[in-house]
Amino acid sequence: MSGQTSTLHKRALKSLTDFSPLVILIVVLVFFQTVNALRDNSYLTMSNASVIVNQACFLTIIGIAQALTILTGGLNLSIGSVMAFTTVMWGRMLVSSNAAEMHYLVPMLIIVGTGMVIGLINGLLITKLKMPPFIATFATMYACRGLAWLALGKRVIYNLNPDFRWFGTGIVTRVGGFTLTVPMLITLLLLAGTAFMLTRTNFGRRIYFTGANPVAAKFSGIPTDKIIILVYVLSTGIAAFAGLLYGARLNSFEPGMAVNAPFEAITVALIGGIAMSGGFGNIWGVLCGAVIVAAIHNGMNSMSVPSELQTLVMGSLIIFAVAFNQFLIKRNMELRNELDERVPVNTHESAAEQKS
Amino acid sequence: MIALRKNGGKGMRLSDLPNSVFAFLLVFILASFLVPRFFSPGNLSTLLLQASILIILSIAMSLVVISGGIDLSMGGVLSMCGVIMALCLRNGMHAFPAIAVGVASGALFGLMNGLFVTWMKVPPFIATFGSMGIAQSIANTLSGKRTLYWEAGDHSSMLDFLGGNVIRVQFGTEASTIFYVPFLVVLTAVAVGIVIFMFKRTVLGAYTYAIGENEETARLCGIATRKWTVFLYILSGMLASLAALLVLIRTNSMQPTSGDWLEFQAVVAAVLGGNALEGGKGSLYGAVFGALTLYTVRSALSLKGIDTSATMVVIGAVLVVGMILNELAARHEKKLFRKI
Repeated sequence: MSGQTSTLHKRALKSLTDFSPLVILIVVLVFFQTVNALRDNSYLTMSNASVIVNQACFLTIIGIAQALTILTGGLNLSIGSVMAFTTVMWGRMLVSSNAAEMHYLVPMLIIVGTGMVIGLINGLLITKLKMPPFIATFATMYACRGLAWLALGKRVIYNLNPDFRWFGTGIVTRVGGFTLTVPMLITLLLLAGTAFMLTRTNFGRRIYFTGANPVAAKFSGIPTDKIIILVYVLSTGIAAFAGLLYGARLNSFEPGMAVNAPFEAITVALIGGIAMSGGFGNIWGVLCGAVIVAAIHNGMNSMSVPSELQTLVMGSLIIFAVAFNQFLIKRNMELRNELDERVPVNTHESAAEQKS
Repeated sequence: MIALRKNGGKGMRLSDLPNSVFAFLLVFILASFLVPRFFSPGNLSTLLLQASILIILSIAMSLVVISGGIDLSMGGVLSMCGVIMALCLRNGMHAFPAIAVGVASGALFGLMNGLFVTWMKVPPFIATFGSMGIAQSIANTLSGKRTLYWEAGDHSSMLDFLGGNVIRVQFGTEASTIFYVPFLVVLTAVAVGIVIFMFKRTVLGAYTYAIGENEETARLCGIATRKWTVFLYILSGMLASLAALLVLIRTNSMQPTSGDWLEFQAVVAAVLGGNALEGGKGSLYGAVFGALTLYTVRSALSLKGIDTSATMVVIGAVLVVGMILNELAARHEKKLFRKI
């Protein structure tokens, strides 16, 4: 009897440790809610929640791009530069005066395609030239940023096609103060697609395996090089897409945009419980991480904390969130092992129960 | 591997030098021939002065990288220490204690990084990435996001001395014909010399390689891995504060953003110098020449009047080519190893 309760207890604990980013999110929300309530401000209203989630959308998308590479044990520093380079290169096709000439989907596809080509370069540098991902993507980051500046100089592409801007600013419905926007839907679709790919397809399982132990993966017949190249193609393609959404929201493309995007993406992915060592993490955690970051920024703005202090909070948050996640992951592994050991005992008991 | 590099005690071979030496020589010779005013006494002096900040940072970075870590907080610590020193000077503190306070705060920050990594077991990349934000935030808050100046006076005369030249030889009247060795370059050389001496002649070097190769094995061999890792991060923080002093003296002011992106350049220099990011491999000399290579490229391109954005692309390309060279050399070494 006591064994059963302790198993139940452990199951409950295990499912709790599965949701470590959620725990952080609740702590953050409760904290800002209390602080704002004490100052007679409203924080957790429907409209503010939709503002936070809308801000989190962009973070989630670049977070997915980063999380995919981190899952393979890598890193993608080229995210922000790719956003700038691809959109600056082809962005003129999306200006409203060119709207009649071609459908806006054509340049969008070209932009995502260009991103994928840069991703291919990233992947080839990492797998064929054996460059560490940090260095390879740093090189493409530098090169793409430089090319973006070369292409456009100090000018800005503005006044974009309104049909295209719908992707970044469109509103689907309003439900009781909560505004459901198009970026939210896109993010949700992308998340669901990535989650499906990671958990239900062969390719996704191989990504986890490659990240957890590349040598073992290679020796068990997984084409690790191919997997890694594909992941970088996907990741950088998603980054280019994020650039489109970013530009659509701001109504402009400029070479200096999103300089901090790769680092924001790392923050989001790590707070979301993706392990830096690779091969561990749930992609839905990225959504949680993005909402945490957006909620903190929103909360601190509501308390009018200066922006330079916000970096301090984010910096310490990353360190403590990762330490916390690591602790929970370790506990989770222990619990999983203990539960696995009990499996034969359980089947025996349940068989006996069925007989009686 | 070490036996190979030392060539069985028969003295140095050309192939024992890190690749970045050859990369540097190649770039340097190319620049001397292709760029008109590059090989002039004045430009070479300026090049050395400009590169010295990155040389210090890349030495610190390669110490941490060889031990299997990474220190991304370096640029932030540079800004923070510089701002602290500038504030001390502004309030009339004598330069010597001001520098001491700056170096101490760098060491303190390094200690914090080391504790995050060893005690809280946060991966070095994340720990120092987080503390980069913390350091930048402190720098911005203390300075109010403004460039800090101070009134020159008796208390800051030491800085004027440090900002001067040790040697100044005039070959002509133009600025480009004046060869000078600033005191800061000498300071850099001394600091680099001390670190390399410690690395080569004390247990520090052997322990750093051991920790980087396999921390668990090193610990089981009786090395106090945690203590040494913390020490390396402290050293890195102190060197970053020294780099801050250089920036402070060179510009005679301090911007709270002057350290931004420098940590990445330091990683690039260290990696160009043959330091493997997974640890256990590399050399400090290599990093120095890596930093010199980067600045040679930058100086040559700017003398040619090439746009800074194009320079970014070229530096990306140099990085890729340098890494290819390193990979080829590693393959060659492996082949040699197999023959033995």
